[in-house]
Amino acid sequence: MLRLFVFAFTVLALAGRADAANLAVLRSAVYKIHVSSSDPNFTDPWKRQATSGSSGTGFYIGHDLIMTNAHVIADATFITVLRDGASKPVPARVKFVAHDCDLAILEVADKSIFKDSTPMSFGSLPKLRSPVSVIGFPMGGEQVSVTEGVVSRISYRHYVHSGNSNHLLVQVDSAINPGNSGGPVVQGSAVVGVAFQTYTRAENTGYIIPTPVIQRFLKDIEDGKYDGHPEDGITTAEWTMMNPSMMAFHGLSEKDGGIQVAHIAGWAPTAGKLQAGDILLAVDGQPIGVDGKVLFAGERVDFRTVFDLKQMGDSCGFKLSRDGKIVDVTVDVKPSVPHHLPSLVYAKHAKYYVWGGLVFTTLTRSYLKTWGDRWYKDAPLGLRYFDYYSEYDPVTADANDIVVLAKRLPDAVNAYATGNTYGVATHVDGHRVTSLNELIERLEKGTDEFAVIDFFGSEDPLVLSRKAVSEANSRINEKYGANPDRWLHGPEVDGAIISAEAAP
Amino acid sequence: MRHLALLLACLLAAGPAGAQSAATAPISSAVTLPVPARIEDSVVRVLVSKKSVDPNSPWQFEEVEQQTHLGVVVEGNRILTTAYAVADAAFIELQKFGSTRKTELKPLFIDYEVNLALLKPVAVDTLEKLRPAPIGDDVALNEKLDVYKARDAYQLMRMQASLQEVGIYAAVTSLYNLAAYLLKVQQSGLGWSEPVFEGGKLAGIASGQDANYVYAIPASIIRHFIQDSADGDYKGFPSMGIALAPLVSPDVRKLLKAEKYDHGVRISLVSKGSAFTSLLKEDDIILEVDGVQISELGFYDHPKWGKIHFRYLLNKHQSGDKLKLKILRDGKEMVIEGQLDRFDSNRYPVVIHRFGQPEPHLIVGGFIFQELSRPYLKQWGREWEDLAPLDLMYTYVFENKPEDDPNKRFIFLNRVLADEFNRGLSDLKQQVVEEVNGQKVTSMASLAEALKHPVTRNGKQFVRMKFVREGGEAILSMDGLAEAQERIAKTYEIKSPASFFKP
Repeated sequence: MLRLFVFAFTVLALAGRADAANLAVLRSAVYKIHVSSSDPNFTDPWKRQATSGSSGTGFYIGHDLIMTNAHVIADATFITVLRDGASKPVPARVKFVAHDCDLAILEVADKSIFKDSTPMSFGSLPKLRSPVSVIGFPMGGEQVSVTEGVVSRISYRHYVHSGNSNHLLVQVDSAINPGNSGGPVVQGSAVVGVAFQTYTRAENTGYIIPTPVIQRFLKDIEDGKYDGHPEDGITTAEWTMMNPSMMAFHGLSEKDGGIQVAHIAGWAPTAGKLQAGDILLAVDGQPIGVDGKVLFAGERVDFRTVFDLKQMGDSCGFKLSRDGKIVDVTVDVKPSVPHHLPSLVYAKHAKYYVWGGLVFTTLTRSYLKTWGDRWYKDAPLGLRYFDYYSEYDPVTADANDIVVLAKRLPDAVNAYATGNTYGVATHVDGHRVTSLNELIERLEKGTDEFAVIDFFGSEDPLVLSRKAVSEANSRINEKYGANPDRWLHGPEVDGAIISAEAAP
Repeated sequence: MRHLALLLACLLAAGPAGAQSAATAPISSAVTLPVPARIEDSVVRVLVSKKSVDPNSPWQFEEVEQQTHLGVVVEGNRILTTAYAVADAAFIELQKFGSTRKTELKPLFIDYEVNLALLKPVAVDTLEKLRPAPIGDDVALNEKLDVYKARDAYQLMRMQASLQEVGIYAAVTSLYNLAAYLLKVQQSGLGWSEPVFEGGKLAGIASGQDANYVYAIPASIIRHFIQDSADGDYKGFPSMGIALAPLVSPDVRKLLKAEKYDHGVRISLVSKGSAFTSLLKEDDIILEVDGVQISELGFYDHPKWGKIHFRYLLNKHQSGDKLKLKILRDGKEMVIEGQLDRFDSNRYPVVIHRFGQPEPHLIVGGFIFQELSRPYLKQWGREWEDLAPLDLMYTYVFENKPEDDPNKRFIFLNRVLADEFNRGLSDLKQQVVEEVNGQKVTSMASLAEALKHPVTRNGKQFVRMKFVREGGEAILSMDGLAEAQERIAKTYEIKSPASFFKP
């Protein structure tokens, strides 16, 4: 899990190589984006945090639309865009946002800003060592900045913004700094990527979202809504199939390669199709090596790249060895069953519910981060464990949410229900609860005199009188400002979209 | 209680305990109190050379560590100290303060659960000039006491302390709930084995320290330990095998039909394998123990200490004694009598201490299998509870409950000693084993048994290992296993043949 922290943070936009003749044309399509944002408050979830300002870069892609990074506009309350060389910022709002692959599309109220702006076109996946120019508005000055570098690596790695997803990315050696985020990375006159994050523990390590991921996003939103990258739910053990004993047991030889499946998440579209113990030999006809990699655009990248670039409704073919036989399996690519994701939340509010002053929320990476930068050490062990192992542990494997008791708003009704803070609620009145909605339903519709709420690892449940709670709820919520008493939209409801719609 | 253990661990990491560090420490500016001659005749230096098993490479020992502790001479030519002081001892010596002469000591009796040990000299006549200290009675709250610490190799140092509180804590060597004195002392570097006196009588032995207090084992526990060990038939300290939850909520009281009572504590868990397993149930309410009324927090009134948890009543019993309880079950009062069992920390599947014992392990084709233990987890240093591997910590905290099988252990793969034979598998590490060759693994014995039944596939024999959680499986061929192990033994210099699986 520490792997997740090697990328220290995403930068607020810039990176590149364009020839001088093209530069003027390219500059006409580059925009500085100013964002005022307010993050949700994950400990008092009915509140939001103080507003802060930030800036990034965007570029014109035609159809009166600007592309940028999702993290540039996440949790935005007000957005303006300023064309390079122009003097007047123009209000904008989010039309599409993809937090998983860190891309967003903005639309503006005043379309005249696109006059004489040439839409940027997209190129292909850049080759290793090929030169690129990064264009944007990084810190350290007002004007547009252009830096040049070369493509140093192509891999399938962590996208920091979402907290938990991996996609194809390209590493470049150009300077990428805060403010560059969302800016175009060009070869000649074509965009080959969007600058989005750096690796702060190494020098000259910038990352760009390459065109296959951008093209997938653009295709995904063609129907007017963003469905997201599919989740494969496959846990594998790299390298094990290079072991002679492993090969002999499975009747495979060195030329077969392959990677063994250690676990398939019950919520994934691969569930029921692939299973633990399978040795994946090929994906969509591409042979998988013992390193788990396939040949993709001339480079060896993780086999998951093939699945990851699919759209919902596509299919994905696997050749695998199971119980000594070679079989072909087709997986229908579809959305996962709702489940705990160790990801950051971008929404107006975290999901929560207040009952008798007990504040329940769902486990998310954003919630864990309320324990600070060293949350992976400082947060309660049970929460850290379920965040990481939810899909493997029977307590949580089939749960839609992991429901956590975040705090108690003190009142006479809960004066003796003081334990289990940060506990994972597992049962109400003896019935298992696997989502916040289910907890609410059990608490509100239960008819026993006392509601008994059990928590994982605790032998001391919380017991409250239903009658006393129903009399106390409005008093408590008013006293502590916990209004509304619940927020049940999932992370799919993005704060930026709501806020932008509310803006004039 | 874990707080206490953590603190001891961090003090140890900072430097060796006792006189070794005291010899170089600046002398306290506090008022120097005279040390009575009779104390100098009873309190001695105990020099311990420790040789502990390396929990990460269990076929070898850690570097020898020298520690200096204190001991108290008691009746019968014996020296009393903490179990911690002599844990893993390879060689123990006694030295009288002011004397250069050293006398070899041997452990006579050690009980890690209460952190006490009795030692005896190898040659009988050597204690001639020493005088046994009488063991005192329970001390009342706020009483002034003396704590003795080594100033250097020649002098004892006397510090004043007062008894602030008596609580129930587990010693660093145990999980046993034991009464402890909390003493206010203006001095750091205590809590290893320093004796506490009231006048000329032994009132306790320090066994821990945190920022505010020195923890000490009370004289009544010391007397119990010495008396029990006197007849050669040590019965040990008992427990009931239950967890308790305060019964303060009127809602819970009503739910459990106990609203008419203003006292009694709720049983929240009854462990497997205890004498009370079949007698008590979750949600029973303990109203009285040995005829003494128990409060909603589980406390009773001790004549000298005020409110103290009734677990101290268990400390006073020997295992094998009968214990009488008055309980409330489903609104009805019942009287229950059970026989108390001896408490054993290692009745829990995660091994708590293994002082002086070899660490069971088995190497299979480079895969090192061991019993999950607290010493192994403690290798992650001061913050081991936060930094040790998440799933192993989860197992320790949430899955470590006594099972019906007293020998139940969590067997885990520590790491793989890399060799051509296990190439591709050598990055596997720190995974709890689920099964081997299709058989559940719940102990080193069951691992050894499962290994006797290799899986046949494609006309060949294999060892097939599966791990819990996301670990997947690993397979080793029986062909070439013996040769690989010979090579591994040579490369990694593992000299004990017993460390290896015999194919």
